[in-house]
Amino acid sequence: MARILIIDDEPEARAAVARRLRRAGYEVEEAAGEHEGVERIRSNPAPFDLVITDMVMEDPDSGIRTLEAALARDMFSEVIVLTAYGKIVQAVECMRRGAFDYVEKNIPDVDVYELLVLRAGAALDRRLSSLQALRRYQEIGQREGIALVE
Amino acid sequence: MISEPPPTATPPSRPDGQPADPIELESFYRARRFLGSILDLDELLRALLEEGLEAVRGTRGFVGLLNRPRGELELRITAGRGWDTLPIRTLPIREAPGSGITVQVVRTGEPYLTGDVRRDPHYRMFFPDVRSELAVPLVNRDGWTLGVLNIESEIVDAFSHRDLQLLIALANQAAIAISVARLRVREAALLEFGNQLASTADPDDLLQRATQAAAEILRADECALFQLDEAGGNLILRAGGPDGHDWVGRVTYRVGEGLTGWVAEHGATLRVPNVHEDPRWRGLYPALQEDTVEAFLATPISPQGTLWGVLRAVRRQPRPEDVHALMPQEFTARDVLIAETLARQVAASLTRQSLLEQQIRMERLAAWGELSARAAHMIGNKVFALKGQLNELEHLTRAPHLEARQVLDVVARARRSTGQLEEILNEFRDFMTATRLDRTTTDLNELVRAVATETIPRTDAPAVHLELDPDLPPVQVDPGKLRRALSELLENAVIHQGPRGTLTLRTGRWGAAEAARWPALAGTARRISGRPAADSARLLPADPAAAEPVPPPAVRVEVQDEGPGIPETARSRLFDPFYTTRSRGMGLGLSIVKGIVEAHHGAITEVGVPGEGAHFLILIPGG
Repeated sequence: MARILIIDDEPEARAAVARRLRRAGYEVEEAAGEHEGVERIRSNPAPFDLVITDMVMEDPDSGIRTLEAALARDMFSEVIVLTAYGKIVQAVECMRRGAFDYVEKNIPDVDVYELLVLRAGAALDRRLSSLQALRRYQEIGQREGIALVE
Repeated sequence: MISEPPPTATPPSRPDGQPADPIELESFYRARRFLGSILDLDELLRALLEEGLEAVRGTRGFVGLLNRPRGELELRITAGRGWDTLPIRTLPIREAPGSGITVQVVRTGEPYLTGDVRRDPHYRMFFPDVRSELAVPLVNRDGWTLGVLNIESEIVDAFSHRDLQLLIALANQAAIAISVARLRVREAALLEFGNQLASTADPDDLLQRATQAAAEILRADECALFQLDEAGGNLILRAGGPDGHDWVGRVTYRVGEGLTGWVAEHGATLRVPNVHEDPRWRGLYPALQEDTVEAFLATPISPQGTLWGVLRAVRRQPRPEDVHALMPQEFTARDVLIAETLARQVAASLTRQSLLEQQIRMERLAAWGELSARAAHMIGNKVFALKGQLNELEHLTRAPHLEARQVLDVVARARRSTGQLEEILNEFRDFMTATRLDRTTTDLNELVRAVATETIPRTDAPAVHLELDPDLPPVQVDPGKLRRALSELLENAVIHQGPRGTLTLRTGRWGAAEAARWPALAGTARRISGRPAADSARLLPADPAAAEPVPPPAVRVEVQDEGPGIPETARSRLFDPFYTTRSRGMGLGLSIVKGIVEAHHGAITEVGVPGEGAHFLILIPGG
């Protein structure tokens, strides 16, 4: 079962996202801000498959730091950045740094929770295919005697 | 301030090297005493009177100074028996039989000596025992009568011709010293004027003060400030002297029309000794009758080289009963210099003010920007949570077996989110409306009691201790807004202190004890009570007793808790918007409190000791 970490300093928002994703069948953990989120990413025995993080928490760049922490732990972790007051510059910055997606919390006439379930599914598919590709490369490497990944 | 040595430092001698005549010499030596004290006009006059009495062996006397606009002689200094029981302190200067020897001297500018007042037609009796009287005018170098030195005796024919000569010489020396002293006073008033303008924030207040001060310093009967309208074609009355106030905004000159319009058109100072001889005169200023105006002085006000308006001063034509011919009505070259200095100072403060306004506008815009961004972020988050709860509700109701408990749980969450949303909206609204007040006469003690009862929970709360001053005067405040402010402070105190300890609420006047306890706040207390503004109505020192420090009329409300207190590092940001240690709301709480207090022209400060509890002190003017 895929494991997802949700980082948001708004308890109600965090709880709502967690409940929706659990309903979709994922194993979900929660962190109440950048500090706790980064700590979880680093200390968890296995890396999270997907990290969904709010952008503005302790400060306006909290989301960028959780994104970096997740990719530093496992470069094939997927990260979706959520924001309640989106700016294009920020979205571009997140994608450039390797986020899977950048989702605004408030989109008129869109149930962002359903959108999140879809995007989470897509992100986890990408992670899966990345990991499968990696495994194949490793097998080829082993067969040919080349170490691709330590 | 320019400091000049007292006039006349060496004894007078004749050009031929012969010793000066004895009268001149004696007057010189006697005058030395009061010439040394020209910084204080009353001290100078007292010295003059004492020297005069001693020189001619008089037993009673006074020095009177002319108040030209009022047409009165003010008895400034008196000596001898009986004055304390005599209610007279001014003499009207009228041409009427029996108006008195002194008045006669003022009117004619000539000295007067009488050996027996009982046989003198001009004599007006103040004291029944007076027999001889000697009165000399104080005439300055321009030939203007400033006042009178009057010496009396109970002996018939007490004064000789020599005494008269001696007193005249003494009076002449005194007149010079008085002129210098008055110059000093005017100079000090000019400096004070600049200081006041620099500390005045309200533009209408600034212009009103400027005209009042200009009228006083220029000794004008009427002083007015005209502002050029936006099109630049008309001058509109913005501020006028005491009588002109009602005319503000209603008196207009076209640029080029009348003397005032001429000044605007040419951008130059204009001084006219008698307006009736000037064809440009229109006399549109309704606070003065056209035919009563005589001397005119106006100068342009041009901040940063652009014409803003005109400062104008006029002097009335003396009425028949006035002291005409004693002092010319026309403005002097020195008055022109003073008017131009005043105009430059007004221009400088107008410039400063427009820069300040610009800065405030920019800051307000920036604050608005930040406020909107934060509000959008917080509201967005709450709405997002709410949508999540709706999403879940939809899912639950579609399930084949509706689980009422689960539905109610989600509804409770949704209610919480909605409540938080409303809290943010309320905070937003309170922040915006903090400065809009609906004042009524309010008993602050009652208000404090009510807020304490409403806000502090009955259980799990600290003990509340009320120290309310029973003599607290009612004040003009918005009770709703002040309740909002106080309940915010109380809520904070309860949250930070927890259920233990005591929470103290105090009311009282701001008095000497408080000023001694919080010396740093004494200036604030004076500022909020408007005390400087009241003092500044008179620029020229009038009554030295009025300068005594009086505790300003302000009341205080204190909220003191026994929680952790405010760390020194947080104190400066405490009242900033969005500064919060709580997760609730937007962090506007204390900035709303500050906004409400400041809208009342009050002040709020945190005066607690870090580690021992927070202590908020609110000062409200009034009482």
